Amino acid sequence: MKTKKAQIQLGFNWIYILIAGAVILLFFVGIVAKQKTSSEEKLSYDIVGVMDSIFTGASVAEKTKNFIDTSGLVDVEFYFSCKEGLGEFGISGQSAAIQNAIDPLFSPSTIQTAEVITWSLPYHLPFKVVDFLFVTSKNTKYYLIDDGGPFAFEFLNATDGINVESVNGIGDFKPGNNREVRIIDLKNIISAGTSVPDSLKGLGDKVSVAQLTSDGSVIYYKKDSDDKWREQGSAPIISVDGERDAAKYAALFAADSEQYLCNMRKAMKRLTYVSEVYSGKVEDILAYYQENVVSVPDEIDRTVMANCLAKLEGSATSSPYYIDRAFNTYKQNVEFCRLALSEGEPSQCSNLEEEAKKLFDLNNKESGLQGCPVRFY
Amino acid sequence: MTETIAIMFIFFVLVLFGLLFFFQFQKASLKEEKQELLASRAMDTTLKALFMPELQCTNGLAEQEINCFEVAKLNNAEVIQDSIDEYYFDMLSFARITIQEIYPDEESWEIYDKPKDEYTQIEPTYFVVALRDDLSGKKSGFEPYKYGYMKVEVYS
Amino acid sequence: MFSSKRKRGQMEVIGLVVIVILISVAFLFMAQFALKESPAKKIFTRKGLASSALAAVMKTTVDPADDCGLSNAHGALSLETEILEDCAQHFPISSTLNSVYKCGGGQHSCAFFEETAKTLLDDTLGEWNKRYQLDIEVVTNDKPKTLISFPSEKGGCPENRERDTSGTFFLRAEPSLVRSVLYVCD
Repeated sequence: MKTKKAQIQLGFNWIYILIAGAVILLFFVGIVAKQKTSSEEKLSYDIVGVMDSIFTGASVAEKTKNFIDTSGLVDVEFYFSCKEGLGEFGISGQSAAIQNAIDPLFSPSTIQTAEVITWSLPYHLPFKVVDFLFVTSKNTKYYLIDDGGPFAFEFLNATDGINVESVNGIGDFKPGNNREVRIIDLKNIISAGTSVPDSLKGLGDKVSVAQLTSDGSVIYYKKDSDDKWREQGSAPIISVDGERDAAKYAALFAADSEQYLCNMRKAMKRLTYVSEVYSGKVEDILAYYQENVVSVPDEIDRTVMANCLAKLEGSATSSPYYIDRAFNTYKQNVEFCRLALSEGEPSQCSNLEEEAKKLFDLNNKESGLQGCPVRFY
Repeated sequence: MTETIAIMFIFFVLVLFGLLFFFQFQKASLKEEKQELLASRAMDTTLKALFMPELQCTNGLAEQEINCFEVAKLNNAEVIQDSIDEYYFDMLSFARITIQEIYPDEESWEIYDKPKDEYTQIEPTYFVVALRDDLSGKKSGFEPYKYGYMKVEVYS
Repeated sequence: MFSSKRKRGQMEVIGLVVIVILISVAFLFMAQFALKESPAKKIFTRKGLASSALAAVMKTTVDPADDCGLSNAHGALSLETEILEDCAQHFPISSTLNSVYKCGGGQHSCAFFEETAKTLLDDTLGEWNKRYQLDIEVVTNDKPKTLISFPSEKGGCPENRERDTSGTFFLRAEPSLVRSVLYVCD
């Protein structure tokens, strides 16, 4: 009897051990799984935070390209969006994201790469408004359909280090291992309804076109389900032209018209405040010339002062002088353009371009303040 | 039986100590992370302030001068303080930014001040800047530069 | 009796093990602080400070109240392009080789530059508890000669100390070249 009791007890002991062990194991496995999820989420927040800092530094480093090694993050897809003047970037499928209503950022909609490339250009209208940050990657290919013009030459030089290739026509595309392709059509050979080249059909929605038109606009095309180009949207390029025109480059790096216009809206908002500072500065400059035209001891300098003052006053003998009127008109147009962009009417910004060009000429041309001791920017 | 109880007792004491250390470690780690975040924010705010077009020296078509502020712009920068809530807070957050001239005079400008109601820490960052005073000269090409610094204090 | 002694021994061993484990965990806990590296902000601001400080010193124009006796065509004298250049062209200081500009009560350019730069750097870097070392050399066909060199009140930044540099600033002072570097350390 006693031997049988021991045998049964031994059996029960093993069952008891198995159950207890399984419960303990499950408990720890549960903790590990929860920690893993929590760690991944924390990591994604850390990544987004670090990228945000990098973007802050990159945007102030004007005309410099930064090559950020993200080989440890090849499985991570970053997304960039901009709606109603509010930009957002984060990691796809994760809640980690950062919103930014201040800094304009132009990039593909998503980036998944071993190397992120950032490049910053200052946006002038006509004085510096804000830095535009362009974010791309080494596996985003830009095909420039070269029209042989000066902009094509400038673009190829300026984008050295970025995955840009010059082509003559639409038959020359070889996407290879690139994740995304952007065609920059300077020859205006692509139009809605025309076929997408066979070599690009496999890229799905990761192929797009940015076409610069002769009237200073950009038209975006995307591939539709019939493998034909479909016009996705268009936008005017609001700028005073010149070399390294940030607005033009922004149009070419932006994912689509929505992102482009949304970020231009940020720029216009910033311009309303920057122009207030310049408005005050212009008044101080006017007072400076009015005082010095009389008080400077040297006669040659007095003549210089008088000429400069005449450019600012125009034909007016009292306030408001020419520069006051020009600046007020400019500020009104800035506000008007900002409102127009928020209402989705970017074409209403053309007056602002004209006023900005007038101020540009006044500050930089020989007919303006060139050679004067103080200019307003 | 007694040994089993003793072993169980010691086991739970060890687990307790382990948990205590873990939570202390977490607390210290969080505090350190908070410090790092504050330092990172101080760095970002300083960078943004240094490169604000509202203050930075310009030179016509030439590139912007870095680490340089225009006195004429500083004298007209009240728009920044006036527009904190509607715009600049999103850029600079809870901070105070002052520019102090050291040479030749000792003028100062407070261009941004948005204090936090109940802050635990202020992290100051200093940066030496050149202050270009275009309106103090009387001849062509005269560019008098003054010497000063920017102080950026972020609140946490 | 024999078995009870054995049990007491076991209990004591367990106690020792517990103490060892506790001490090990405590050391691990303290070690993670000892291995912490310098935060990024500290490095960034010190590097940027060195560069911006030297650039600002060089750009600073002399206060008209310091009356250098001879103003240039622009009516302003920059510490770098006028005063330092004058210093390099009239170095070493001697009674027969006086500088063109005599600022701050008739001082030689080198003495005036050193005094002014020291004041500016002490009022900024010095006030913020940063040590610094400013080295300015004249480079000719011969070995480079030290033109101006001074540390902060608290001491300089020798090579064996963790320091950041402003980068080298060059100035043409015919017939030679002037090379300036500012080191900043904690």
